Amino acid sequence: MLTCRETEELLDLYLDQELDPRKRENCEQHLRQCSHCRMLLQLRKQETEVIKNSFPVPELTPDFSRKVMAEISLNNKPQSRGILSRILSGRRSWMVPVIAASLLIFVISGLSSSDILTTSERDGAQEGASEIRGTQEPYIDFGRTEQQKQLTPLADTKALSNDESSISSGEDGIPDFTPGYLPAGFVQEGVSVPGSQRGDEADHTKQPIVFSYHNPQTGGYINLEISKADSAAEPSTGREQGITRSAEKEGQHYLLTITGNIPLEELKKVADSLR
Amino acid sequence: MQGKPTDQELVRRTLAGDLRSFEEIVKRHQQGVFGVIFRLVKNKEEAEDLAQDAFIKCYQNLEKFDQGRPFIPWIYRIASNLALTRLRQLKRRRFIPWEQVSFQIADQETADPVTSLEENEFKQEISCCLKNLKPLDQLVVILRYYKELNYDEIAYILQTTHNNVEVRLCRARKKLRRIFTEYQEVKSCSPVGKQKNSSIYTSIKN
Repeated sequence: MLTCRETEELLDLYLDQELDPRKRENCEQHLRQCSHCRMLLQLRKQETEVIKNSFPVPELTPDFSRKVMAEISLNNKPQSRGILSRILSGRRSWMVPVIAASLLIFVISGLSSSDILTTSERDGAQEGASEIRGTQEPYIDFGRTEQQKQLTPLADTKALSNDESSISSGEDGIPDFTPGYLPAGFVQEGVSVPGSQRGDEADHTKQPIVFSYHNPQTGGYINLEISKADSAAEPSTGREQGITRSAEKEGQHYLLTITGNIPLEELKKVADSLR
Repeated sequence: MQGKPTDQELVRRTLAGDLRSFEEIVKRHQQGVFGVIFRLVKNKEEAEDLAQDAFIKCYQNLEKFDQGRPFIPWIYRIASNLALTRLRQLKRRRFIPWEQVSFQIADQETADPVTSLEENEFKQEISCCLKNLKPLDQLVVILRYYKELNYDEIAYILQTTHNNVEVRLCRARKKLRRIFTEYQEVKSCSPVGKQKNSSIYTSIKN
């Protein structure tokens, strides 16, 4: 049988349910017989309640989860967190000025020794740059600004700003197939030419063009692949990986393939809305 | 019958690419995570920023989460580490943003407003006492009293032993109990005794 002193020492653990079964039983046995210790137990319970109520926490701002998800969608995709972002945000931030200085030296030395940009051409650098791209890289205009054209050759997927939601027809002859319907929350993310590489000698006008749409809240995506077809292709309505449609514009046949990680019904609506 | 998905199920879905499941995790645990951080840093804006960082860190490290274990201690561990690190930074700069926790004083509906004021004063003393504990002791009290976690879960969050949690909790309780005992004495004493012994009572009368 426990003494009052021993029981008192065990009361906190008893209330926290952290006593082993044997000690718990001993403690309960004493409590059944000792009114003083029962009163003390009651006091400890009261104390717990008072502490619990003594430190109120304000409510979070209502859009907290939305802010977290926006942050995650924009900046924290595990795949997009590359070496550079880790250097910029991590403990190696001292490397930032070193990298910046190296890049600056590289750019300056590159410009001064370049055969492409001679002194006279530097005055009209924009025209010069356009010429270089025109001869060396497949470049397609999808309604981007002049500045974007100069900065982003279309070899990889490039993010476009949200306000560029429609795509105009390009100089390479790919007409406008902007979907008239997109599920709620989807914005145009970018456009890419799969498999194209710098200096690729292949006829780039035959390459498919992929327009990507993304819902940053849900992680959903839709890809619209447009490729030129030699003749009218057979449309299908339910391939495993998506939906295919054929279309004809200005005497040219096109194959439109819509894929994505959203329900098939939604994909069909997008496919049916292609203009 | 389909119930609410478990945290582990939501983690699995998130890892499979479903961001909506992670949003559900955030909604489910945001107030809890914020509560732990707020009670440590005592500043709403600071606590919200840290809570946001905690969920982002949680998302980035989700693959490391052992799905055989409960989710709450894991996310609390991330949140606690961030808050304790922040407290250390602030201590180095000799600046702690102590935000006076507001209590509802003398509720109009309360039958005896003096009692209500006494209680609020007492609550403030308790929270001040909590503030003066060492950060790790504070955290143990927060996790035990406000989150009702058991010693093993608290030990996991603090990355310490079961016994260490017991010792820290015992130490913190002794300090809190001193205030509590004083309050009980004030309540049970006569008005004259109250005036003599209670700073709470004196402040109310003034």
